[in-house]
Amino acid sequence: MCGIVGFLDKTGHYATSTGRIVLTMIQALACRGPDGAGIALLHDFPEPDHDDSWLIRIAPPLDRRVLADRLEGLGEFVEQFPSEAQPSRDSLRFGFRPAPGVTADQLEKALGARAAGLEVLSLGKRLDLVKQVGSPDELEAAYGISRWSGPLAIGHTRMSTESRIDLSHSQPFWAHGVPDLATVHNGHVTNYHKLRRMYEQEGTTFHTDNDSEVIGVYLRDKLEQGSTLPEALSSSIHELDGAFNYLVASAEGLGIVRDRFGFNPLMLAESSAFLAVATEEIALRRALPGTYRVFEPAPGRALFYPAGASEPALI
Amino acid sequence: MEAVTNSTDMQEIDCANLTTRAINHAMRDAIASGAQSFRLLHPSARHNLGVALPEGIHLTIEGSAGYYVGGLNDGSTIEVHGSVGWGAAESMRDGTVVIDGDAGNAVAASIRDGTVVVRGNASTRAGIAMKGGLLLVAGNVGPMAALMMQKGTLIVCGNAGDGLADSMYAGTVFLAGQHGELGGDAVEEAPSDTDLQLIKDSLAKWKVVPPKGPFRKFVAGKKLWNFQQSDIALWRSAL
Repeated sequence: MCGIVGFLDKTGHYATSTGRIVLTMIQALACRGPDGAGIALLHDFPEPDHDDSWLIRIAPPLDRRVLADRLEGLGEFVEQFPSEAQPSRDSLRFGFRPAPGVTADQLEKALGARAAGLEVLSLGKRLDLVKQVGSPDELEAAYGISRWSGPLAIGHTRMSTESRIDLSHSQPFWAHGVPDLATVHNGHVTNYHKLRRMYEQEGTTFHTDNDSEVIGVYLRDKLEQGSTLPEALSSSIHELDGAFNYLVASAEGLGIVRDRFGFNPLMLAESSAFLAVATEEIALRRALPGTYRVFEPAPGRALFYPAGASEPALI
Repeated sequence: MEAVTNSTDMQEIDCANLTTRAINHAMRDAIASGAQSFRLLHPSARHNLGVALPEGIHLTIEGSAGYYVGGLNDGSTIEVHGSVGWGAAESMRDGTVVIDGDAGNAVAASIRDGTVVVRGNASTRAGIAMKGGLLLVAGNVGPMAALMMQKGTLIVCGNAGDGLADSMYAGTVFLAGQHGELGGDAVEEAPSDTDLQLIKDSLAKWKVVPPKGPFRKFVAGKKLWNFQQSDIALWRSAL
């Protein structure tokens, strides 16, 4: 059974880095699923002069010239983001300032995503997302995520139940087309095929056969129709069917959703310094010292913790 | 590796660097040598602690336990000085499990006899499919408490979520607080004097502060025992 984890640093200076905490949590849950591991983290890069650039990660990496060719005319490469502490051979991260009016969808298409066997793992001003087949230890060896820091992150260990075991089908999923939005899911969305047909008829491209991917597609659709993210999380409880605990990492904050029946376990811990959530308490205890209450949040509820705020919005 | 430090009565086991299997084996080995009483330190919410302990053993867990603590209890007494995850005391034959904190989903699932006490709140499906025994919750229970209960007693001093006593075969639920939407085929009746004495005695025995409000009683309407076409609406609404 998959394991999901999430962490939000309320103070901005919690003693241990967000990357290390999320790594420790997914290591504690590694026994739940050997098929993949990944995290999505909002970096705390210093504010640039012009915050209009995107951090983009693609897998597999492309030759720089090929990359430049494909993105010709859509904007320019920027070097303002700190370079990766530990680059991997399996993905490439770069900064890009899109030309006015250029969308994430356009960049993704120009890069040749899906058609050319290339995946855009993440895109956003702060979002970074790494995932691969294998264990959390292997993920750490590849990317050094324990050294990543930022206000919030989510993570996932995978036991494949419905779809292929490869990088593309691993989690987290970037919500394609929406900068700085990623999801992790434990459970099974049983109306996936019905939703997928509906969205495909409207022109959406799906990148995998993994039902978890539809969550990000759903959220994108709602956001484009004018919902706020908390509203979209709340409406998903009745519009997705099946078993789902899912977490959302966004520039606005951390979201937590449980289906109406609470089919899958989820434990939440909160102190004045942090908000942490994981499929099993064992992950919380391993990552976070101290005394704090851990409880199972009510099913059929969405919680949204704005980055930097101390109280959640219970929706 | 010396996992168990001997003292006159209580054997202490520091779980910090042990697997669950090693912890449970250490207790079994000590029981075979005549030990009766154990304390687990630093459990860190491991799963399956103290599963299937035999008659007469006393186990104290200093911290939170994960899933299935005290599951398949065969007559032992387990105190958890913390919270528990899913399925605490699941399928207990007999014995006692006392949880100081909160309980996750399906506490006391399918117990045949014995007592489970939750001093905090219980999550979804508390007492699901109970086959006897007593589940006493000092706080609230989440949705679907006593789902498909067959026998036994659930006492809730706090509130209950939606679906209380859904699809019960038999058994009794006593509730002092508010409930949400009642479960399918749950029927309210007036508690008898015997019922009220049982509740009073249970609260006193387990040192649970009696709630302010009176206890209400919910039992199975038994309309779901056999399918009748005239009850189709009830079947459709049952969870």
